[in-house]
Amino acid sequence: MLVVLLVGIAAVLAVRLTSAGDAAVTQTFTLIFTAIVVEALPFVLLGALVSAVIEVFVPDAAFQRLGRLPVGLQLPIAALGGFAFPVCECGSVPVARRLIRRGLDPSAGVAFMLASPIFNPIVLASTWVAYSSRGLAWQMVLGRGLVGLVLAIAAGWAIGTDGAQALLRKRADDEEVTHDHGSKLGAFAEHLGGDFLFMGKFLVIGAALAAAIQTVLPQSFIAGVARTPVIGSLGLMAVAYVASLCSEADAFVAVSFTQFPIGSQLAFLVFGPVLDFKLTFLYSAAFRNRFVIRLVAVAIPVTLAGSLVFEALLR
Amino acid sequence: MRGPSSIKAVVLAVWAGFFVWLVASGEIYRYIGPRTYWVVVFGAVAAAAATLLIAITGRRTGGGVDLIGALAMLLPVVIVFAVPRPSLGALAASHKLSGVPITAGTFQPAALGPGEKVSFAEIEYASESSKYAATVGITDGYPVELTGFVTHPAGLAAGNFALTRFSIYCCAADAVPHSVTIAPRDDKSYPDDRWLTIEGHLQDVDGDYVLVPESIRSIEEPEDPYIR
Repeated sequence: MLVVLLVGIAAVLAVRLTSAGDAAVTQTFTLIFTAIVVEALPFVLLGALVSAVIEVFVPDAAFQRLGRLPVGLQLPIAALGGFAFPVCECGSVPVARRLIRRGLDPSAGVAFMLASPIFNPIVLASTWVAYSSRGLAWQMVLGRGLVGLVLAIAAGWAIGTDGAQALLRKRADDEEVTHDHGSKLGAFAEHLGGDFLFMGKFLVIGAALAAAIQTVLPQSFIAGVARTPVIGSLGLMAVAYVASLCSEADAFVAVSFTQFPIGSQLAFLVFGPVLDFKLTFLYSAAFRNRFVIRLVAVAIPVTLAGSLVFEALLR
Repeated sequence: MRGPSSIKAVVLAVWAGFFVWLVASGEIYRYIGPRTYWVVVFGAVAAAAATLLIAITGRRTGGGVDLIGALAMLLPVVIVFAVPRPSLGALAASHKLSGVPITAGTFQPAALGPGEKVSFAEIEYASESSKYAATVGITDGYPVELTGFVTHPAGLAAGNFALTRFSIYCCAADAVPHSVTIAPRDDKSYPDDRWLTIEGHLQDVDGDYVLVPESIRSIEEPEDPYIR
């Protein structure tokens, strides 16, 4: 750790002495990168905490009972369960992984993970507030909640069928900790620290990429396609992917995209909490590689269809 | 405490300390909006509690740890101390898609409260909606004082520049720029990112309100660089 400390101090001195930190690019990157990590990391910690509680303190029998329910029942219940777990997307990933490991059907686990950042009271309330100024509060809340639920259930159904073994990425500390229960509190602490570190590093990488792209790539590159509903929706889904915003705040950004159709704004609000730069890395930490590819294959058409139907209904 | 546990505890302790420093120094508002302030306070308490728990129980348990991952986790803290007091400026403003949150005709205006002054957003809205301008009382010749940084967006008349300031909701990643066009009477130029306080009056130019300065003062970046 002494070497790490010395390298850190050297890096700080090098940047300060060369004035590299004064450049606009460096300032913008630093601020956006740090802001994303500072805002999301406590949620990762909360997710790790809940995940550790599930692993250590919830008895196997509870998950066995849940696991025996028909998948057709587990899926919608899990998706609606997001309403009772109001955290951002960063917190739901470790929890979903742990739920699946403990015996919840993988389809239900994925549905819970994807629904909770959209179908939760804080996010729906912020959507209401943001769109109140445009007189579209309840339409946007309903649209976001419904399309988000449909997407979560469709993705859970499509991705979770292979079973937990094929879905989850195996981690070195999964078995080590489970078999080394000196005490329940000790096991809880190890799971908490392990999940926090494991998911946190992927958050840092994802946030760095999101900040780098926000720093160098102007959003106006997609402004020319704004008026076309299909291309506009795909364009704002791309912006949502790059921006990596928290789902509790993204409605206040979406409402500013006034040159885009309202359906495209809905696409931004549904797609972003399900798939963005930081989430891609968090998913890679929790699930095997093809998870993200299959999620993209479901999320893009479902979100696009939902946004077009929404647009048609509001006309 | 064994090696892996000590590394986990150190990373958590650094983050607990960093969260506390953000709050104690006031730097938190540079990165996070007031509505999500609680997230950082929660992070500080939870990370400190987790550090203590791992430190106390670490003797009895093991578990693996990823050293590269632990180093990656410390990167944001190192960067913040390498680049102190970073700010969003003209570059960030030019990359944002839109700073006008509301289109004309859809906005439901609210009158300003007692003591509230017209600021960037109100002037932007007034340029978009004459109904809003009438409600707030913005007219040709309306006196205003604005503090922001200089930007030069495309499409401005020669000699004009824009005064810009960001508003944030959750964090700096969702920052939205608000700009007002400045039409100076002299031909003095100002570089991007220079912070200015401008007193003057609004002028209606084909429905768009521009600020005609009566005085321009260069200032240091304010402690709180955002519109609240």
